[in-house]
Amino acid sequence: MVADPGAAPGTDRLRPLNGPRPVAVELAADGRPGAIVDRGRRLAVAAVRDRWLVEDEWWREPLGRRYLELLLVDGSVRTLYLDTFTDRWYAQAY
Amino acid sequence: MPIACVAVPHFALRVAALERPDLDGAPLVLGPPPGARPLVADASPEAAARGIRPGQGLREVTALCPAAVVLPPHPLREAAASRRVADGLALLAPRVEADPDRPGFWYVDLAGSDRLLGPPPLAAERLLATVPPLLRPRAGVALGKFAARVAAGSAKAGAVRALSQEETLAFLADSRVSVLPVRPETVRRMERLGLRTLGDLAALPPAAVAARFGTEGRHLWELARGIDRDPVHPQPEPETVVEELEMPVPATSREMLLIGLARLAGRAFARPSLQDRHVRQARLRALLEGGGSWEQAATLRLPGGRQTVVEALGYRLADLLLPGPVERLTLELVGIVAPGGRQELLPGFRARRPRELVEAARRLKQRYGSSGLYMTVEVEPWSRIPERRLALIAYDL
Repeated sequence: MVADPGAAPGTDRLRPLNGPRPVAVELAADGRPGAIVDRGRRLAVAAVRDRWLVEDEWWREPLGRRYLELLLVDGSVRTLYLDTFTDRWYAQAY
Repeated sequence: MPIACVAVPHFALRVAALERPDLDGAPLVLGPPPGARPLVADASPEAAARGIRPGQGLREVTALCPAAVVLPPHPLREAAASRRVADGLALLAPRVEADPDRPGFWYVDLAGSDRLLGPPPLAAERLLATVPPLLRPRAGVALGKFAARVAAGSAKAGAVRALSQEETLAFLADSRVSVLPVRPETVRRMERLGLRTLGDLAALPPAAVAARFGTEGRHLWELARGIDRDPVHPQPEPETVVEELEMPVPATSREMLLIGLARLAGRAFARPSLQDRHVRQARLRALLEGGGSWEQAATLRLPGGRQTVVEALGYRLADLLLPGPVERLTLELVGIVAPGGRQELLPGFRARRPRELVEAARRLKQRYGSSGLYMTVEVEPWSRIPERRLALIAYDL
């Protein structure tokens, strides 16, 4: 489960940094990400530079994330992951 | 002075059954606290009937009784249940003492309660009615705390065993020496000497018992003779400070607990009631994911401040094996006193944090309730989950 990254910090809590941010992903015909829509901007994906899988915490609430490091057409690099339990995409620096 | 003892044998297991009534009647076994050897701490009568005894290895439990349910200790839940029972008893009779050495035993002073509660046996029944039946409470009434406790131990669940002054001596004479409030080694020594019942002990000359067992022996001889002058000591409400911290994600590492501990201590000692004060004892409690809990206590040799509390509890966390992820941490500070002589920092030693920044944070907090300043701390820098690696905490410790 992903914590709400926009939650107010509150003075009496530890506030985790680098929380995942939901993004929309348009898939190409071959199933790979063709474009991402982040904060209202649509950016096409030029290439997938790397991919890896994180599966953890099987002993309590299993967590599965398929990370992709994407090169976008504007030259920037973004890291996204697909939550394998909810099928939702998130942006998160790794 | 009649005293009632309300008893819940196997208290931790009965509290678990109170929370989960489906466990009532099942063979229940209390496991060891985290980090301790895997031995049975207590067994319900249903488990004892299948041969399970305290001190056995947990592996033997499975072999003896595959249906046995092993429950971890839950000190938070047990302390809360004990308080609830004591509060319920105090509604009927104000002088209530929880036995500090026997969880699940409470003494109630019935002196002067006749008009309100009736004669002592009836009063004890009324006291019993305040305790949930799932705890299987029972009560004893006698003229002393010890006899009342032994009487309660002989009563069946839901029943009262009341002893008149005349009955007490005969009743105690038949009781085994293991009911005495002494260490198991002393009981074994008595049994080696052929003293199996309190009657055996009471029949000896007091001087002989004192010669063999010291001043404690004299006291035990008096208890065996039904002489018990120890009154009910109602617990004074200690001045305590309690702080809680919800962990942002269930914490699985010792480092995260240490950060939480430092945060809690900072907040506690920032309270007005602890300004320029020290504490004698600190308890760190953790509520675990899935409902368990865990507790570490540090009684300080000399009353200490924030740093002393963090160091003392941090030392106890050093070898801790967490039984599960921690959802909430609670720090309770007890025994608030004025500080004694304090050694100031030696010349050449300086606080690591710039004094000006600390002062600015303090002023912001005074004015706005929170300084709004945060600092980054490493929580689990090795984690494969990025949001677990770093966190922000308020810069107003």
